[in-house]
Parts: sequence; structure tokens; C-alpha cells
Amino acid sequence: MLLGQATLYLTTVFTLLALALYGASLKNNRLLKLARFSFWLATFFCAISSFALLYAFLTHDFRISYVFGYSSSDLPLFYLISSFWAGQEGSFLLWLLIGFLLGLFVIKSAKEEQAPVLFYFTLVQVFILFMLLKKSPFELLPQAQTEGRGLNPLLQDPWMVVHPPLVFLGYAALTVPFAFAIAALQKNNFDTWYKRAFPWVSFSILSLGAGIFVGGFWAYKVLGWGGYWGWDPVENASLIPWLTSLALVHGLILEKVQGSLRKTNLFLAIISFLLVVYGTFLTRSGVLADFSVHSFADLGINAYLIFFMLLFLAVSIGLMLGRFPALKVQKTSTDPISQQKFIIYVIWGLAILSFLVLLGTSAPLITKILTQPSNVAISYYVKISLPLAVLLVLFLSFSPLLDWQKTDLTVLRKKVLLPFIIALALTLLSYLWGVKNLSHLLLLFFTLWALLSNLVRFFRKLPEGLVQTAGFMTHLGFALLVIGILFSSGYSRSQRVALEKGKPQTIEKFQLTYQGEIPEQNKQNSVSLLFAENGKSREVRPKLYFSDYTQEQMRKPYIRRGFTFDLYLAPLELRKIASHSDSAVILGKGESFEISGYKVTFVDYEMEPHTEGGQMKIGAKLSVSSNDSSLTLVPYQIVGGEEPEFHDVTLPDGQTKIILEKIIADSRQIGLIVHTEAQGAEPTETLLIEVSHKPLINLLWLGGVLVMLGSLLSIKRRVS
Amino acid sequence: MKPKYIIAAIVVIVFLVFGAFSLKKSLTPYVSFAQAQKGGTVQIIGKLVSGTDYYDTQTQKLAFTLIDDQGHGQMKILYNGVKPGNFEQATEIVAIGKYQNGTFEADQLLVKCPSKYQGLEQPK
Repeated sequence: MLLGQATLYLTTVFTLLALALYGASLKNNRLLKLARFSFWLATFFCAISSFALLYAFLTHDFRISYVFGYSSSDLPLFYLISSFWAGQEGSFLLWLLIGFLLGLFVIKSAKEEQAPVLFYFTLVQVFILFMLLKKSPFELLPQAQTEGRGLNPLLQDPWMVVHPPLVFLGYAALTVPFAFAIAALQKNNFDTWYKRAFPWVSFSILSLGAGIFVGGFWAYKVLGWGGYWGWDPVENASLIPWLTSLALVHGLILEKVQGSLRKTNLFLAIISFLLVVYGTFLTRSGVLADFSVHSFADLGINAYLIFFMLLFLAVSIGLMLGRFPALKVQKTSTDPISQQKFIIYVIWGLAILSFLVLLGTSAPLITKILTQPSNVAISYYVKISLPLAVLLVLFLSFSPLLDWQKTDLTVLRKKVLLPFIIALALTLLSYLWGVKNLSHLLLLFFTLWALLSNLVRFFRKLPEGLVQTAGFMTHLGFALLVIGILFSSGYSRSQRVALEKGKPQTIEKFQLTYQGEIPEQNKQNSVSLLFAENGKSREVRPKLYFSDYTQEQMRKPYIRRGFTFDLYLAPLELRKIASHSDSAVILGKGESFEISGYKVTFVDYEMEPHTEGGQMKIGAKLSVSSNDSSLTLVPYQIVGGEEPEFHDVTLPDGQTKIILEKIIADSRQIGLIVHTEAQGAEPTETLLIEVSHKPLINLLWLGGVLVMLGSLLSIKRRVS
Repeated sequence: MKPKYIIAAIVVIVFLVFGAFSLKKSLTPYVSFAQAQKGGTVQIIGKLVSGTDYYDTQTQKLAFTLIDDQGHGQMKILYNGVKPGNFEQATEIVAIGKYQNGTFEADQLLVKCPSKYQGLEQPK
């Protein structure tokens, strides 16, 4: 047995021990120290397992099936490291490890509630551990191999090093508010959990959000994932819990300020985690294999996934049903137009949005139970998210201007006026530019308004310190994100162009010339393009090659980044057509022509009935002679069917084909087509390329960065 | 019941009903080639008839023919998009779209390969 596998078993032993000891500590604190020690030991052994797997990758230990399947000895160091989480087994190990490491911090932040919080936290670790035991990354091959299969070239990207760890960091972090909420329900003590969970919720939003965002950025610059966002089940599985945690963070603000929304927050904290488990089930069990481009294969862990999902669900529902009726709630009556109420509207908006995305993602499963399995078209997601986005930015545009309790409408009118006018003007400008769709105009108008009113507030708040602006910065980022998404997805234009080698073509304001294929390392060839813009030209090299690993055509675009738009050059296909010439010849009986050293003479017709009813075989007997030889060839047609069948002949040189094209019965002539492959001539190369113009996509990236920065600041604010 | 609760309930219900309707309309069931010809947005699945794919530079569409699992039905597909990377190697191709004027106009293709992530085949 390998060291990694052995320590994985030790991890299991100590995790179960920690679970039992924390369980025992629920009633009395005597065993708490021992429980914590077990948790530490489990963390230690899990880290050893992880190092063992990493070491196996770095030393190319191809005895191990997982190392064999996801790496090869020619991979650079960074990609060797990321091979660790290229497959399911390794990514579960990463998730487990991150969970343990976060757990050490949770022990600190749970304080006197360590026992119940860590009990549930450890239970989640057990869930991940069981999947790992079922499908271990340390499984040995029946026979050691000398070379691995290599890493999928789609995954050979610097972003692969950070994207999966960020997502799993988010998933692991969402376990913390869940554990706090369940522990609070069990202890029937709700005074501290939300304060302690708050920074963890912000942290989940940051890490999961960064994971989603980096994933989108990666998908944008590597073709093959279908753009920065494709509403794919795997993508949705991470988006849905993120949206519910956004709702949760808003709810926590209200609870912190005035003690309201207690039940809502408990519910949101629990559901965010359950959605992570459900998402794992959807994407890892193979139930969606027919509907997703990511299609994870079934590893035979369905039973575990379903068991744990039901277990977590039962515990959560049981505790909520048991505690909620008696739970005292702070009632506050406030004006419908106040910041408080707007926060509640936002929570509702986000909740409905995540529910509808969940509904669409689960559609194949739901319809499988009801009738025939069906998928939803991507248009569904666009249709549902558009009106909800309009509502959400509407709230966003007002909320920074409102007072907490009750807003004086005359004061509000004054504050609103300037952003309103500027937003209206910019919307009109966009209308003239080409945004004619009414719902797009509405979305744009409210988003611009939100952008401006948050911008004003951001600068007003800035003198109090950057940390104080966290909320406004995040909202500013969201507004930019929405504008970027609206323009880049709704108003991109693209065309496909065939570029013949050496012939320049003008597309929009650019000139493109295809210069040929360039061989590169690992057969990851690129194509050379001369890209001329404003009189300056330079060579760019998007990639286009066939991958032996995936048996796929791989493409990597060249992106000319610009502030107002990106120009996206995506090579599609390289066609190499050998040169040849076709010529038509008409011959009467006894007449001849010469081709590549042969004299071809039409001798006579040859007719006979073909075997199948009513069909005729008509041939032309040709005598072919050169200096040293002569032979007879008979190209023929079979007529009488729906369409004639042509059967050609090839001359002894192997390069010239003769086809009997037609029989001219009246003049007793035949029509031949002589097809000659040109010798030595270069085949003509044509590069098919898609040229897309993606407006304002940079606002999307800028917005995303601001959202992440804002979340980071808000963690800093909550912790201090 | 206070009126504000009623308003809130109405808003939520309107959205959920809207969502359910959109979902029902956007559902694309897997159907046979014959059923697909009756119209509506559907998904069909089949194998690529090798050599039938070509790129129409005029309409900028990818054309190819699929043959169904039983091997008797054939369907010409027009896809307004980029040829997926693993097109030729696909074990099966799923086309999502509508049957119109004798061809199936696909908006989306899903190319089913042995797998994108889980390409692990044990050596024998």
C-alpha cells in the first residue's frame, strides 16, 4: 500500500474519532481537547496524503492510475501541480484538505460553541472523505507504466492552477455558516452565530466568486468551453450557492443592525450549503452526462451522494421545523421606501433568481422523473435573468440614497435628479448606437443610474477610509459587470472569413493575412497571421492543432484587447486542398487524345444489362498506350436507377483518373472528364477564421475585480 | 393580512409562474427524427455520417448529416456556428434546434465524446 493511501485511512480514522468526540462533547466538555486533537491529527494526515499525491505527480509515479491518467513526464512544473486536481479523485482530496485547513480557523472563531459547530463541520468532512475512499487517487494500475497519458490540453493553462482551488475554497467556506447555523438551531441559542458566521459568508462570496470569475475569464481566452459563461450545469452548480450567499450577506446586515430576519438567515445559510451538495451530486454523479459539455463520468458514488444529501436535508429540515415555531423574531415596522426594506427586496430577488436557475439546471432530472428527459435551452436563463436583473439594479440604484428607516421623498428627489439625467442621456446615446431592445434599454438605464449613484456615494465615503466603502465598491462593480455582460453578450458581432494563404483581406478596419502554419512545442501548432491596424502591422499567432490526448481540434484565439472593444480572432479550420485540374474531352469512335505521356483512344461502346432489374451498364472501351505498353480500360456508368452511378478508371501513372461523364448517342460520341493531380505543386491552404467584435467586455472584467475587492474589504471590516 | 404582504406574495407568484412558463417553453425534449419533423424546438441525437460535413461559406453555416441509432433515419443539420473541436471524433452528436424546410436548423450542438474531463482508459 502506498503511503498516501495509508495516511488517507489514518485521516478517516481520526476524522471519525473527531466526529465521535465532538458528538460526545455536545453534552459535556471533558472530551473537547481530545476531539480537537483528533481533528488536528486528521488534518495532519490529510496534508501528508496530499503531499504524497503531489510528490507522485512531481516524480512521475506512473504506478498510480490517477497520475498516469492526468500527467506525463514532459509537463512543466506548474501543470504538474495542477494535474493534482485535474480529475475527480484529486479534486475531492483538495476539497477535503481545504476543509481541514479552514476547520483549524473555525475552531478559533467558534469559541465556546466549538463542539456543535465542529461536529457538523466534521460530518461534512466525512461526506467528502467517503467519496475519496470509494474512488481513491492512490489506486494502483495492474501494471506500472513508463509514460502517462498527459494532461488535457484544455486544462494546460495558468488559470487551471488557481481556478479549481478557489472554487473548492468557496465550497469549503460555505460549510462554515452551515455548521454555525445548525449548531445554533441545535443549541437553541441564536445570539452569536450570525456575528461569527458573517466574515465566513463574505469569505465564501469572495472565494467562490473569484473562482467563478476566473473560470469565466479562462473560458474567454481559451476556446472550447463556449465563451465566458454558458449556463452549463457545472457552472450553474457554483453560481446558485453564490447567489444564495449574496442574499445571506444582505440578510446578515439586517440581523446585525436590528436583529430581524433571523429565520431567513438561518435558512439561507443552510440552503447555500445544501445547494453545494446538490450541485456536487448533479455534476459528479453522471446524471447530467447527456446534457453537459463538462460531463463527468459516473464513478459509482451516487449512492453516497444521495445518502449524504438526504442526511443533511433531514437534519436541516428537522431542526428548522423543531425550532422555528418557537423562535422569537424582532418585528420592525418600516416604511416600504427605506434602505431596510430594499435589502429585503434584494434578498427576495436573489432568492427567486437562484431558484429559477436551480429549476433550469435540474430540468433534466425533473423531466426524467415526470416524462421524457428534457434539457432547457440557454434562452430560458436569459429570459428569466433579464427581468430579475432589471429589478435588482433598480434596487441598487435607489438604495444608497435611501435612509435606513424612512426616506423623505422631497430630499430623495433632489439626490436622484443628477444621476437620473446622466443615466438617461447615456441610455439615449446607447439607443442611437444600436441598443434597440426595450428590456435591454431598461436594464441599461437602471444599471447606469445604479453605477452613478453608487459612484457618488463611494467618493463621499472615501475620506472615512477605504474599508468603509466596501459595499459601494461591490455594488459599483456589479453595475459595471452588468453593463459588460449586456454589451458583450447582446451586441457582439462576428463573421467567419476564409483567408487564402498570402492574400490579405480587410475585415472591419483591420487587415488580416494568413501566412502559414507554425510548428510548435508538443505539436501545439499555431497559425501565423499578419494583423494590420492603423497602418501598423504585426504578427499574431492563435493556436490551432489536433490534440492526440482528447482527439479534438484545439483552438486558442488571439485577442486584441482594447478599451471599448476586444477583437477576437478564433481560428476554426485549416483546409489544405491539393491542386488538381479537371478537363473535359469529347471523343468520337477511333479518335484519341494525349495525357501525361499516354495516348487514349475511344474504341467502342460496351453495353450489358446490369444485374438489378432494368439497369444498364454502359462503358466506353478505351485503348491506352504509351511507348512501352498498352492496355484497355473501361470507365462505365450504370443507368436506369434514380441517378447514374459513375465508375472511373485510373491510368498506370496513378495520378490521372478518367470518368465517363456522358454518352452522346446521336453523334456516337462520348464525353470524358480527365482529372489530374498536379505533381509537386503546393496544396492551397485556406484558414477559416471567426472574427468577433466584442464591445465593452473590459467593463465585465473591471466590474468583477471591483466586486472581489469590495468583498475583500468587507471581510476586513467584519473581522476588525 | 396586510396589503403589503399581499403585494409581496403577488410579485413572488408572478415571477414563479413566469419562470415555470419560460421553463416549459424552453424545454427541449429528446425526440426521434420523425418526431422532430413535426416542429418545435427539440434535441435529436445521432451519429455523424462521415464525409457529409462541409462548411457553407455563403450562409456561414456548418452542414452535416446525422443518422439515428437504429440506422435508418437520416437528417440534414444546418448549424449556425463554429464546428466543435471534437466533431469528427464524436461518438454521438446532439443537435438542439428546430426542423424547418427540410433541414434541422440547430442553435446548439453537444458533442458527446468518451469524455472531456474523465478521459481515463485503463491500459489492458
